[in-house]
Amino acid sequence: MKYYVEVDDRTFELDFQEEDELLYVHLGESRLTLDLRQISQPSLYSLLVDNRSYEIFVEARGDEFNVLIGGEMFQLKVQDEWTRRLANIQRKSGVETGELAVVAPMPGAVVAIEVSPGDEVKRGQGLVILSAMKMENEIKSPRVGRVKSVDVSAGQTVEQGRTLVVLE
Amino acid sequence: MLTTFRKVLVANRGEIAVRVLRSCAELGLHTVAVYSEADRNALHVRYADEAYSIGAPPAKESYLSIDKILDVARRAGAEAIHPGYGFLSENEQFAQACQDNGIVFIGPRASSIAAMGDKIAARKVAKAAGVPTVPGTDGPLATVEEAEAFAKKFGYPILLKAAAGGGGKGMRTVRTPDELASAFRLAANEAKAAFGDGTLYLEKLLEGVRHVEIQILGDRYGNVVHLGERECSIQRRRQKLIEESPSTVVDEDLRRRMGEVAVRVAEAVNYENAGTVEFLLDRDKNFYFLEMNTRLQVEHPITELVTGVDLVVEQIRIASGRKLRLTQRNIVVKGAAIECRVSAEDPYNDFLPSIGRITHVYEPSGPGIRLDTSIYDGFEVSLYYDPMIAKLIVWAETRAQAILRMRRALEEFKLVGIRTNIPFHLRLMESPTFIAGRFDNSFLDSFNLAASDESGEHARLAAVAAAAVAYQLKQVKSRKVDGAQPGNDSAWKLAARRAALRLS
Repeated sequence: MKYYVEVDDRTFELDFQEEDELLYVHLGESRLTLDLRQISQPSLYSLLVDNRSYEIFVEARGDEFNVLIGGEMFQLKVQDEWTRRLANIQRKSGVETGELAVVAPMPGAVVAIEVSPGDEVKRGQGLVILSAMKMENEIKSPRVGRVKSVDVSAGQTVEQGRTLVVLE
Repeated sequence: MLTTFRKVLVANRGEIAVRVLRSCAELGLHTVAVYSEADRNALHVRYADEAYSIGAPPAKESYLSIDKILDVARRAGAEAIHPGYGFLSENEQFAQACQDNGIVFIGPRASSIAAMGDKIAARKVAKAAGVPTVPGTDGPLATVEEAEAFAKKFGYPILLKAAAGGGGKGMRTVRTPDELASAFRLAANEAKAAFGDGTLYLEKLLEGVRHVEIQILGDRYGNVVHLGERECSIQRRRQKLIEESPSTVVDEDLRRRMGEVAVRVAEAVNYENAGTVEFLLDRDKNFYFLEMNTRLQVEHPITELVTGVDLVVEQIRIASGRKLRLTQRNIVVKGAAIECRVSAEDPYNDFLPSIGRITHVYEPSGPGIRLDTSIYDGFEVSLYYDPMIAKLIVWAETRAQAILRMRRALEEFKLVGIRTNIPFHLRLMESPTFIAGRFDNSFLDSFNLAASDESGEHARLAAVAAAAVAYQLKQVKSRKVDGAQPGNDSAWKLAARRAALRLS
């Protein structure tokens, strides 16, 4: 089974094979013997690559993967050959909308709202102040735009991922 | 006059509550824990001899409630209270209330806390004792306009600070006049939330300086000693992240001079118990009084490791009226200690808090390692309290060995289920600037998690790992569809185990 992994600006093509009850992967010129064990749910793994031992964190969400190895974090996109083909077809028909929901990057309490619907905002302009763990964090606008709606109010507790403000 | 006590209430939570309980236990003292509803399963509750619920998770309703804590002390018959750090540790009303209720407060006199707790008053004390201070306001700032006037007088950049401050809360750097109003509001709000007092003052921001502090111990008979310095310049957003002792820039002579000044500051407020005098140290080895922390510090373990003194034990001895058993001559700094503050903050998402369940903890151990923590398998990182969840401390004969040991320990330390700043610490331990010891307190402003020398190789490995996990997940799924045995063991994993058995 072939896999395509995008990380930073590189794409790796990996081909997995099970042979004599062992797992091998072809990567470029090399053929590596793998032994992967999950040590702890949800994310800690032990990986032996040709007997070299690594302890790594792997977080998977759909085809988006985060891998922490040797104190470095990588964001990767992993697709098997079938998914990749499907994604290529879909991308051609995809439409981008002008709306952008700014969400809470962490759970917390809304301290203040700094914008109102209709406001023009600059990139980096403060939208909402969230307080978590006694620290106040200003949630800034990721781009230029106009505030379409403010979806929270001061004093409200919000979960991670909750929409705070919608830009258009 | 000895005021012996046998039962101590620890008015705190988290790693510091656990750390204090440990010394109490070793001294054969009975212990009492208090806990909020969020902390019923906490280690400090489980390690203490007795534990009492004191209310809802927000600190104001539990760990900051003087009445509730004193009520528990009375009910449990505790004769002394150790406040830890944070919460009520630098609250003179609490220290006074303990005394009024016939309970020993394991810390300084209420008057010393008051004198140093108001940072504006503390600057006056230091000045009066002939100790140089950072240029700044002599009184509180009533309005933003007043702050603007002072900032203009001293020149930007300036530092807004909470009069009731500590731990970097309610503090903001202001580099240009247009940032001042918003910084003033944020700092005042943060100070009000953290300390119940939003009063601010300002200082000129000294740049290219180090944060170096001196640990002192004083008894009630006027004996004060210092236990050398702690280098705390590695700070992020004014929060200390890594501390070490000794500092690479403090030699024997400077240590003696800073120590003497610290002792003088302590004597000026008739100081009893453990305290820390913080200084800024410039490139020419001039040092300026910053503030005095009238409590045990978060980073106290590094001093313990290089001096061999258990500071909590000394605090308890002093509080029970004993004379200091240490003299300046027999305090010797030996080897090197480093502390990394491990927090539930995601270095890959702007250090935002990472909330959730720590499913598994793999603690580092072995030679020279000390881990002060209160986490365990299944620990919930909640929003209510500080994100610091562990302090990893190492000792070695030399600083170079300590850095290597810290790297090894950080690699062993695995917290599963949440993101932590461990990778950030690991990268810092590899930074040439840190290794050379050539940094000041602005070091982390420009430090980022850029690619390492091994980045290319790591990226390739990450690709292999991610694809292998994806492959494994798919195999498990398709075997489930086939009606095969479900489980997280794929065929080749089982095969590898079988092969291993054959070999052995």
